[in-house]
Parts: sequence; C-alpha cells; structure tokens
Amino acid sequence: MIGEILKGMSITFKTMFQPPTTVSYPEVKKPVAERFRGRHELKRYDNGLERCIGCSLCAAACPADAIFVEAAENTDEERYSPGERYAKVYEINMLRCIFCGYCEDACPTEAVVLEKNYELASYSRESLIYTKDMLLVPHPADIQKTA
Amino acid sequence: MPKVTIDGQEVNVPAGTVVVEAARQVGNEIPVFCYHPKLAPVGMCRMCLVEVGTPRLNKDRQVELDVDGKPIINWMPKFQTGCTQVVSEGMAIRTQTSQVAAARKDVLEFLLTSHPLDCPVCDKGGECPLQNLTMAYGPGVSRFDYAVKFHFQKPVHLNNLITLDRERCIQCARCTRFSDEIAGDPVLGFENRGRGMEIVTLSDPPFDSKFSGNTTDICPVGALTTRDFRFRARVWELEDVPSICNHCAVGCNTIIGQRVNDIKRIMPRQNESVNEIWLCDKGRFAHHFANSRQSTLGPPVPSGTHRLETPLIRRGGPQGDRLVPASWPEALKLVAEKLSAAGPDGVYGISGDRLPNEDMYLFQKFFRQVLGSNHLARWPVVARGPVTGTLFQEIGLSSGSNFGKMGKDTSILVVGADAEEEAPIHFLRIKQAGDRGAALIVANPYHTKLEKYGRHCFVYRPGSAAAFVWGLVRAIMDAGLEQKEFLGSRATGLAELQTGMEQYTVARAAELAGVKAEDLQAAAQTFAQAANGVLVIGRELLGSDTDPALPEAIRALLTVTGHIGKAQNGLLPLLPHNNTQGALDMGLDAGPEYRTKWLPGYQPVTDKGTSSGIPASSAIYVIGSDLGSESDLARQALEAAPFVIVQDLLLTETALLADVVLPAAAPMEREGTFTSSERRVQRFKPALQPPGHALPDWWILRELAQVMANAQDKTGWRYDTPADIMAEIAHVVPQYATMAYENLPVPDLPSRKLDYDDSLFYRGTSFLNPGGEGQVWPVKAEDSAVVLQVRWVEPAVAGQPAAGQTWLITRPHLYDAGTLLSQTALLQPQMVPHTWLHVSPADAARWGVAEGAAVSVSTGEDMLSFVVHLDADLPAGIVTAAPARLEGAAGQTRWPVNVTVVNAQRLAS
Amino acid sequence: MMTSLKSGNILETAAQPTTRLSESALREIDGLIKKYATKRSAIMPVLYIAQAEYGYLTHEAIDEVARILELDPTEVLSIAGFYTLYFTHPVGRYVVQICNDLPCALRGAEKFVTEVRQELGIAPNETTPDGMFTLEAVPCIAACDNAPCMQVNLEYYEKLTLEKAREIFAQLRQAVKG
Repeated sequence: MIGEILKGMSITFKTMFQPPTTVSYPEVKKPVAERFRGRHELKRYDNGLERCIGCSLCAAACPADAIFVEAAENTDEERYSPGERYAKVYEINMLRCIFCGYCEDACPTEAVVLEKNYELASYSRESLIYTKDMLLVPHPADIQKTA
Repeated sequence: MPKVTIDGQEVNVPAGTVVVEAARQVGNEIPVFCYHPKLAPVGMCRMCLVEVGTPRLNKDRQVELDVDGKPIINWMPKFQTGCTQVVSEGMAIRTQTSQVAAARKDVLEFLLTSHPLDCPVCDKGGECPLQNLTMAYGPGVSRFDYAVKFHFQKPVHLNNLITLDRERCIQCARCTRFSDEIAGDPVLGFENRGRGMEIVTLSDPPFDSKFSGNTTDICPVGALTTRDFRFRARVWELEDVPSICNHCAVGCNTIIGQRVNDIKRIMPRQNESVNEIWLCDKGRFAHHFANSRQSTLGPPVPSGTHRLETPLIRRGGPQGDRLVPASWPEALKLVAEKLSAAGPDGVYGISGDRLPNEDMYLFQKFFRQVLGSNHLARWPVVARGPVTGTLFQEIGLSSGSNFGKMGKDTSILVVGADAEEEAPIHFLRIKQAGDRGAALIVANPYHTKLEKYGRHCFVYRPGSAAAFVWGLVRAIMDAGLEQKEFLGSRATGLAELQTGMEQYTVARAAELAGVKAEDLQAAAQTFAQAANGVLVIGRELLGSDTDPALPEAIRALLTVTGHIGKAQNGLLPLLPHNNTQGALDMGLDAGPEYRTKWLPGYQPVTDKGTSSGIPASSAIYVIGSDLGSESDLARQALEAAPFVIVQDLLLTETALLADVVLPAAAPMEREGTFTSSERRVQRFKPALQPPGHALPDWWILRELAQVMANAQDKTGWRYDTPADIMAEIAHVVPQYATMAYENLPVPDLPSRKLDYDDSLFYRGTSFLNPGGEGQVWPVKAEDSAVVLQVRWVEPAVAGQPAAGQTWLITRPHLYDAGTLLSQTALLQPQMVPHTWLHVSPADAARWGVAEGAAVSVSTGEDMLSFVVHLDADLPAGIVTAAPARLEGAAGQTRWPVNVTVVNAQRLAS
Repeated sequence: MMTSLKSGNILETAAQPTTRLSESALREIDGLIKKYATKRSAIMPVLYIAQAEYGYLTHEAIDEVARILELDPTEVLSIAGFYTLYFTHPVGRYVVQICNDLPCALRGAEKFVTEVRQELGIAPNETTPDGMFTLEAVPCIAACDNAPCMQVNLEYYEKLTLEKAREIFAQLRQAVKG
C-alpha cells in the first residue's frame, strides 16, 4: 500500500519541477490558431476607403441570419468606398453569429474578415449587435495621428 | 396548324408561331435575351440558336421517307435563331444537341466580354436573366482578359427616374422596342455601333415617356434600373406582397416589394385582362405618401404633410386653438358625442373616392344606420353630372371584355378623353388594339396622343360632344347600318327617335360640332360596321355641365349599333380615381346639388331626409378627401361648420380645418378591394404596418359605431376583418353577390420560382397571377330580357365665347400635383402644377405672352392667376388647366373666360 | 413633346424661329420627301443636306430634321449615330477614316492607325489645329482585301503604308492651298 502512495507521490514530485500548463487568463493570453475565426472586422483599402460595397452577400450567406446590411450610393462629395455603392448600415448580431465564416467566403471584396479577437462577453443583448462603427477598422490617417 | 418535331416530340402549333414559342409547348426552354413575347422579334442577341431542318421533298413535292418510313430532314447548314424562325409544316428542330450547347456557351462568352461583372452592386443581381442563363448555359471561365473590358462612365441618368449603365447593356433592344412598339414613345434609340453602341435619348425632356419604368422590368441585364430602387435592397431580401395600384381607375395589379416596413419598389403583377405585364410610372413610383415620414430621395416633402400617427383634437391654449395629439378613446368619445348631439339632420358625410369598398360601405352604413341620416356625398364632383353611375351599370363595358383580345373586328370610339393622361394603361391597350387592326376613332376638343393611331380623328367644338355623338347616330341611320334584328327585340322608342331626329341631319350635327360631315359619316360607318364596338369617355364628359342629351346619345349610339350587352362591347368611362366606381356602387353617389341619389347597389333612396347642398351648421365628417384644398366653396363650408371630423393619411389643408383628425391607414397597410372603371373588383393584401396609432378606416368606423351603439343600443357592427364586411356587401349589393373574399383569390406569395416555361420571359421582372384576375360584375344590358329605351333629346347648342373670350377647359394630367402625388419627390419634374394654364402657340402669339408669363383669367365670377405653359397640341381659342382648382364644388368643366396678361415675360422662378 | 399632328407643307412646318436651313435647302428637302412613300424614308438624304448646311450634325440640326420629318430626335440620332459618314461632332475639312476591324487589324491596320496618329499629331476623333484633318478609327469600310485602307471624305485609298499616307496628306494640303 505504501508502494502505491509513493508511486502516486512520485508523479506529483516530478511534475512540481515542470512549467505549469494552466494559462492565467486574462493576464496571459494564449495565441490562437492561424485559421481561427473570431470577431469580425470590416477592412479598408490602403487609401482609407472602405472595402465593403454593401452588396449584402454576407447576409445572404449567413446561416444564422445575423447580418443586416442597407446600402446607399456614394457621391463625389461623400465617398466611403470605391465605385457606386457602400454600406450605410452594417450590423452583426454577435448573439446569433455562429462564427462559421461563410460571410468571409461570400464577400467579393474581402471586406469582412473574422479576426482573432474572441473576447465578446457583454452584460446586455443590445450591446452585442455590433454596428458598422464598431466593426470598421480605423482609418489609416487616424492611426497615424494616435501613433 | 403545322406539325413540327422538336427534339423528337411532335407538336401542333398555330401557323406563324416562332420556334422559341413552339419549344415552350413541349417544355423545352430555348434561352433568350432579346426575344420578348410582347415585342416583335429582332434576333439581336443570338442566344436562341437552334438546329432547324425541313423535310426533303422529291420531284413531285412529296416528302421523301427513309427506310423507317420517317421523313428525311434537310438540316440547315448553320444554326437558326429560334426567335425569328417561324415554324412550317414538318419542320424539325433540335434544341438539346451538344452543338447547340456549344453555340450557347460561345454566345454567352461573347456577351460577357464587355460585361463588367459587377453583380454584387447591381440592382438586377438575383433576378438577372444574364446571371441565370450564364449559370445554366454559360462557360465557367472566359478566354478574354478581364482587364481589357470596355469601360464607360457610369451611371447615366436617362431621366429623373431611369438610370443607364452602358457597360452592362447587351444591346438586345428590348427597351427601344418597348418604347417604339408598346408605349408609342420613340424616344430611346441606339447610337453608334459595335462595342460603342449605346442607348441614347434626345427627347425634351429626356426619355419623355409615362411608361419608362417598364424598360427596367424587361431589361435582361442591369443596364436599366430605377432611381427609386437604386441600392435600396437586394431583390432576395424583399417580401413581395400582391396589391392593386391605388392611383387611377385602371386597377393595375402590382407587387409591393417590402423590407423592414418600408416599400422598396412596386412592380407590375401579370394580369392579362387588366395591365398585362405593364405599369405606368405613376403607379410604380408614387408610393412615397405611405412612408412620407422617411422620404430619402430628393428635396424634403412640404412640412406638415407627414403621416398622421395619433388622433388630433383641437384645443384652446395660450397660442389659440391648436390640434394636439389625443388618445383614440378620447377622440372617439368626442366624435360620438358631437355626432349624437347634431342629430340626423345636423350631420353631413363626404367620402373621397380612393377608399376601398369595405370602408365606403361602412361609412354610408354608419351614416344611414347609426346616425339615421342620408346626408352623404362623394368628392370629387366628377361623374355626378348627367353621365352617371346608372348609365354605367346599364350599358357599361360588358363582363368578359378584354382590350388585349380586341383586333380587326373591333372599333374603339374615344370621346372627350385623353386616355394617356387619365388612364395610361388603358391608353396602352387601346393603342395595342389599334396596332392589331382595331379601328380607333378619336374625338376631343383638343389633340391627344391617341390621334397618332386613330383611323378617324376629330377636334370638336368644346361642349358639343352630345351633338357629335347624335351626329354619328344620325349618320348610321341614314346609311341604314343600324342593327335591325337586335333593335327589334332589345330596344323601344326607335320610331320616336327617328321622327325626333328628322330635323337633325348629319350636316347640322357637323355644323354644331365644328367637324366635317363626310368625316362624321365615315367614322359612323366604321363604328357601325365593326362586329364589336367600345365607347370610351373621359373626364371631359363627366362634369356637371355636360349636356343632358349626352347620356341619351350614348345609349342610342350603342343600341343602334348593337354594341351592347356582349363581351368586347359597351361603354367604358375613364373615372377619376381608383375606386370611383366602388363609391357609386356603395351608394355614395350624389348629384351636383349634393342630394344623395342611391343606396348601395343603386337602390333608390326612399328616405325623405336627403338634403340639397351641405346643410348649414351641420357637423361634417370627411373621410379620405382633401376637398378643402380643391374648392373655395368646400373650404367655406368646412370653416362655417360647427364641428368637422377629418379622417385621412396626412395633415392636409382640409385636416387643418378640422376639430378632430383621425389617422387612417394607407391602402398598402390594410386589406381590401377596389372596383376599377371596368367594374372589376380586385383584392389587395397589406404590405406594411400603419405608422404609430393609425388604423384602417373600417376599423375606426366600427369602433365609432360601437361607442355610439352603447348609447343608442344598436348592434350588428361586429366585423373582425374586411372579409366580414365584404360578406355583408355581397348580401346587400346585388351586383356584388359573388364578390365574397373566397371568390376573389389573391396569390399568397407570388413565387419567384415559377413554372419554368412561364418564367422564361418574366423571370424576376413581373409576376404571374395564378390567383385569378378579379371579377367583373355584369351590366343590365347583358341580361337579354332587358329592353333598352332610346330617346331623342335635342343636343344643346354649345355656346360660343363672346368676342375676345376664350374657352377654359379642365384637363386632367397624370402627374397632377395632388395631395398623394406631391409626396413623391422623385416625380417633381414631371408634375403639372395647378397654376399652369396650357395655351396654344397661336393664342400665346396673339396675346404676346411667352412660356412662364403670368396671366389672370376671369370666368365672370372668379378671377384666377395662372402661369402660361405653351402646348403645341392645343387648338387656338382654347386654354386648359388642371381640374383640381377649377371643378370645385360645382363640378363645372368649361367656362368662356377673359384672359388678361399680367406679365408677358417669363417669371423668375 | 409630341411632333405636330397637323401635317402640311414642310416649308411651313420648318418655318420656326430655330430654323437654320437655307431656303434652297428646304426646297430641296421638300422635293426629296415627295420621292418617298413616307417622310421618314427621306431621312438619309435630308441628313446629308443638314450636315452640309450646319457643318456637322449638331443637336439643333438633328432637332430640325426631326421636326421636318415628324420623327422624334432620338430616331434621327440613331440613324446619324450608326453611319460613319454622319458627324455628330465638329470635324475638319477632310475626315480620315481608317478601318480597324478584325480583318484589317490582321493586316496591320492597328499599327497604321498609330503611325497616322503620330504623323498628324492627333488622337482618333480629334482634328488638326489647322482644321484640315479629322482622324477616325471606324468599323468596316468594305475594303478588307486591300487593308490597311482609309476613306478620306468620299475617296478610298487602299494597300496603304505610312509613306503613301504622307503623300496623300501632302497632296490634299496642296489642293487646298492651290
């Protein structure tokens, strides 16, 4: 019987000198896989114009019906994206989203991308409907200002 | 009926059928872009290439047979276009071979060389024949370089409604052919050739057509799209709701494309008896009144005209009397109290003629049953003159008539009507009938577009329509062309008519009407000799100052020619609004003197309590009408009334005069039925939620009746849906006996995934109507036991204006700047303002006035200010203006006037 | 806008304030119209007359032809736009039209167009500063067998090289001076 105890304790003793497996989240964050599908971002071109053209194909592809898009027409005075059309309203309901990535596949301009962020918890349902302002990456000019 | 073999299947098709149509009959789709069953084929797109062969003939012109006894086919060495190739006896066609598939693949590859492939931003994406056929028949990849596509600047706005994307155009010419052949507006054309070929318009204003929106429906790519729908939704996101257009009395079937409680677009819904697959631009674009809170296009709509969302009650306050929001129970209680206190003789009800039948029925029932009053009238006053609803229900266009089937054996006589302005789709179909060989006879006091297609055209003296029609009758009798057999059994009073007309020769008629006697005789002959005849009358003859001889003349003309009581025959009035006929049927008719004439179903009023004129100091209940902005007399009556209730969509000028305003739901926010000019009862479904606390009119009336019933112990107002009301109407109104909702089916969800063959040409653009085409109630003359009474009434001699005077005639315009239409900012450039006075170039020269000059017009009693608008189609001596400002409370349509020039030059705008 | 419904003498119809066609041109047009069953059929010769009078087919010219023939201006423009010998923009004294359709292109027409461009110093659809030549690359002038080919006003020149073209341009310049 003593033998068994010693056998068990030896395992304990051995692992005491090995580095811990537990990650102390949130202080420490584990890197995610290359093809991880996290929170969406709406990308821009290098010149700052939005990639999204408001075509609604992401919404059409979405199996959870989590995306809502309303388009409008670009004018020379007020231009958001190249070409004629841009997304005036772009919303993703993160409570519905199943992170399947179909929206990314459907996007003809590679505007919507599922990025690495997975910290999406919130205290209210309303705040989990992500609007275009929240999804759109910052304008390059704004990044330079803050840098 | 030639027998042809298509992919081994034998089929008999009518002579003259093209291969594409023949293939549909055996269920084989031949893909097409330029071919359209409503247009003449041109063979431009080459998509329909098939293999065609004819039987080999021997020396004796006999079909040679092979060893199996089958005819030997001489296959043509090259592909033929299936849309232009007409079938012949024994023809063999192969549509499924690998060669044909390869040809289709190549054609699509070529069509796509210049196509921008911007489907994600294209409004046609999702219902695009080019997308669909490429998926079905096209190559997966192109051998052409994507980078060297032909690029144009985009977009080009052809007019304020239609946008052209030249890169997407595949040059099928459907739009140009539609404009030329169907609409009769040859204002779209191709410029240049080859890859540089593009659609252009040079008319002034550009793409000047009332049917321009239809080109976007039939365009097989996204080259033509509407500005109204531009980028507003993807087509697969729309919920499509079957509806009926609520603008004019044609009753076009429509689809409302709805998303997030907002109308994104309106498209035609196929009904071959009413609008085929067409819709006018007013019906397509003038829907913004429903959402006038959230108008996103163009300049903001006038303030104060947003949709009413709560009841309003006039209350005193520090700033004087104001309309302030109130709750429904509060408003209903106040209305009930006031109406009860006023008593049966102290109330007056005025109904607009745009409401659905159910609401009109309940409105008159509320007055007659709950209030015990017959003080009811319909606004506007049009069709309250001598030519009335009783004439329509006696000799109206017979049930089963269809303009789409009229051709060589039919004559259509149009008198006093500008069909294109009053009922555009009727114009389209009358013109089409003319193109098929029907003899059109057009008579008006001024030139109209229909004259271009008329066999006999007349410009008669204003006010002489009765003289003109009697002239036709006399000419028919003189030529001995009356239908003696028909008259013998179906008419009385013929001998008296002949004696009465003795002095009234054709020459006399021609003199009175100001037309040539021989022309009159020729037209009479054409109309009498046609197997079928339709008489179309318009706004000009529906006024209260119309000659009382006219209804007799109309009855006599249709009776002596026998154009009565059978399909494709009878009288078609172009009524002013979408449900004027329904208002007449529901017993809201009244004479110009405001005396109620009929109960529902034209049963005579026996009650003595009818009044003449709006009784002074009575409470007035106005439902769905902005009469206050149309007539000073009505305005004065409303101002003088001790209590005014207005039930409407918008805070109109009339509503501003009210003590209580009740917010009503728009037609697209509730269910109901409309009755068209042809007396076709058609049902529509709700597409939107009403704004705020607005409720359907029938609902408001029911609640009000129930509030009052508590006080007076009256019951019987338990209607849960409009279907319950219609069930009661079917019981009460004999003409509507078969009109219960179960007999008026509406397609539940007109599916985009239609039967394959029928979707071939209409896919995504217009919709089949499998639920039925509405029901037309039969007129009296269709009952062969009914004997028609013809009577001679001497036509009045149309007065001549005194020296220096001019005729002022009211003339309706499609884009009349009325209350509902003004809400659509997009249509503002088309709008004809009520301040315009249309003047002929000759008169303008005589008075020395230019376009935009200010003039004042004196009718003797009134003095009105106008802005001159030159109109080359007006004869000298006539000026015209919109009815809204003029017809007013009296319903007059014609005045001799003095025109005074205030400022001869164009006013700064 | 509707065309006038009353058909009468075209001299009357056209006698409107915007007319620019001369009396003799109008008379010639009147004669032409009489040769055809319908007024519409006279459109091509009438366009030539209008082009001669206006210099090229301006919007105004097209409107006037449309009014005379009782057509919509768009229908007239469709005809003028289709044929390469009607000009809807200002042109020089000589219009040099070189075909660059596929058969001609295979025989070097593309290269020839570039050479002529450089020679004249103008791009297609432009006119030399002296107003002598307008260069146009057009589809098919029906002389593929002898491509590269060009049409200068109504004259055909075939089997061309840059040298030949230079000669022709020089001769034409000379002809104008002389």
